[in-house]
Amino acid sequence: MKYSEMDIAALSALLQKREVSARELAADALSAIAETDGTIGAYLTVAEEEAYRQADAADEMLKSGTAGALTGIPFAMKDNICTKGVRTTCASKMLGNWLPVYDACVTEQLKKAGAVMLGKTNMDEFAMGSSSENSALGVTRNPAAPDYVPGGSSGGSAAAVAANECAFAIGSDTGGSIRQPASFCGVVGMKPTYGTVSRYGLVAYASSFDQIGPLTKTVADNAKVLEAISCHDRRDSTSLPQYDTNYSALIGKDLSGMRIGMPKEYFGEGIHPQVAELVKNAAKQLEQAGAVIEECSLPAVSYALPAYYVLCCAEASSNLARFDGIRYGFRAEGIEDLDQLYRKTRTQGFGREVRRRILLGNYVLSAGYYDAYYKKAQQARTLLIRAFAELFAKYDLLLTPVAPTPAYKIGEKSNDPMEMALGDICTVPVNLGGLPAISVPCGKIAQDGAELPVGFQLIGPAFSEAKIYQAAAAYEKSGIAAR
Amino acid sequence: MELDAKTMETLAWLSRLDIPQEEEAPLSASIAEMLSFFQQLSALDTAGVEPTAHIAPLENVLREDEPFSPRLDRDLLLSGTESEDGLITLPKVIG
Repeated sequence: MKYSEMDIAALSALLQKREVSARELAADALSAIAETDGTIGAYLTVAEEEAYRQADAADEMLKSGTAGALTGIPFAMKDNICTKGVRTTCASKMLGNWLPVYDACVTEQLKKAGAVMLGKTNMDEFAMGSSSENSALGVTRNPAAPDYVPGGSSGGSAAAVAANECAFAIGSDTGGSIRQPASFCGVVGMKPTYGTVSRYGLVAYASSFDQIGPLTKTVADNAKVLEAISCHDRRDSTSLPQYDTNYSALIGKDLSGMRIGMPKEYFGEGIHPQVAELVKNAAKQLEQAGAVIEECSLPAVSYALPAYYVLCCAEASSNLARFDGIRYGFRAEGIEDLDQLYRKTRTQGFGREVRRRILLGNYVLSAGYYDAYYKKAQQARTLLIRAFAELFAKYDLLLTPVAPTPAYKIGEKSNDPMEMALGDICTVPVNLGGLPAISVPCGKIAQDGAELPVGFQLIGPAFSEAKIYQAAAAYEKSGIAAR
Repeated sequence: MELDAKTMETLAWLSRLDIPQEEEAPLSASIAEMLSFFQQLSALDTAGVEPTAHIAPLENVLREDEPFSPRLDRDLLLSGTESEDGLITLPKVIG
């Protein structure tokens, strides 16, 4: 097996035995990128010098006996996370050549762990989208089927893992942006409990939903990466104290006594029948592994999608007000007055979808509409949180599809933002509730000669990551997870 | 639901965006479509329900003031659009 095809656990074992050096692994990963990324387009920036510098530091850690589970492991970072001295674009013309002068907390944590960053990955501009087609800087293709989208917004991160162009990747998830591309590309993606990973240095889209998390080849790898990046950080006022960060603790334990609910609303109209079938097959596997599976009901999901879009557009319109042509990034030419400086810069610097969401956000926040839209959506959020709490009084976890369909063709939905938004129906309730949820590959659907991966989603109450990984790993071990 | 030209103009001003003429019709239709979709929320009974602005169970915590060096250093200034002698430069915007 090639190094680039190995998971973190296997690579780490080789590094610890000194059968390969971090520098050799970095060189191998960079040549894998050179070989395949011309077709896939997962990376916006390949940071070769930086990768070798970090690999040399990792080799020192390995020599001095201070290495951990991620030391020397090559990874990719989503391009909305600040990396000192390596350009961070958010796939936008607005930040096209912006060089951050500081590292995000997650970047610091991974450097501390000795992981080796290979580069920055493509995404929907400012993380707004579900196919990565809203990138102003390039197209990313699904490694399983190159005519199809990789999902989004962390499409580059998911594609990089699936195409063996890194051992793991970091993404961010505001309404499904880690889990849906993980499902489309056939990798494991975790959105942790809100507040688990510091947002310091993550370019804000919708602050009350945004959360950083790992994309990996296996469930155990995913837990290891989350262990490295979670921390309480005073620079992010919403970062929470982390009492128990041993997310791998329950992996390998059997599932006897675990109760898993399947809310019937996630399997109804609009869900591709084969997606529903694959998720139900996964339920059978979990049952055989000892879990008790029951159908349940979560009617509150029916208004999750409108509530989510009201709130995320409102937060985006506020967060993106900072891009004014003065402090960083792009500035339009031919300016005559201050108002024109703002308007021309923002009109030319932001892509169409970003401008659409800013306009929508300002509409729902404007005088006369605030109560009808923004406050109403916040109240709907409260009702959904209560509904989840009632279900978690009965069940340890919930099992659902990640997306209603497998990946679609590039260009198929890019001119219909409404239809694209409907694809987020299974993932946004989790963000409204601040809950942790994972996407795990559970099979493939044959379509037009392509084999399109599909994932299931396991949702848990806040801070139940270890239990989610336990169930996901038990499923993975059952052997039918086709990658 | 339809958005008239005046509403679009106000929205554009609030957002500090121009709406190119060729985008006006599709953009206004697309925003109207989303707003109709948002109308689903009006059917929901939310009497007496507290709005949730944020999920984290956070409370204000008071602490002693501690002086520290803010990051407004030379590097940060130089990461601005344009700079000269450690200061951000801007086009002349006041007549």
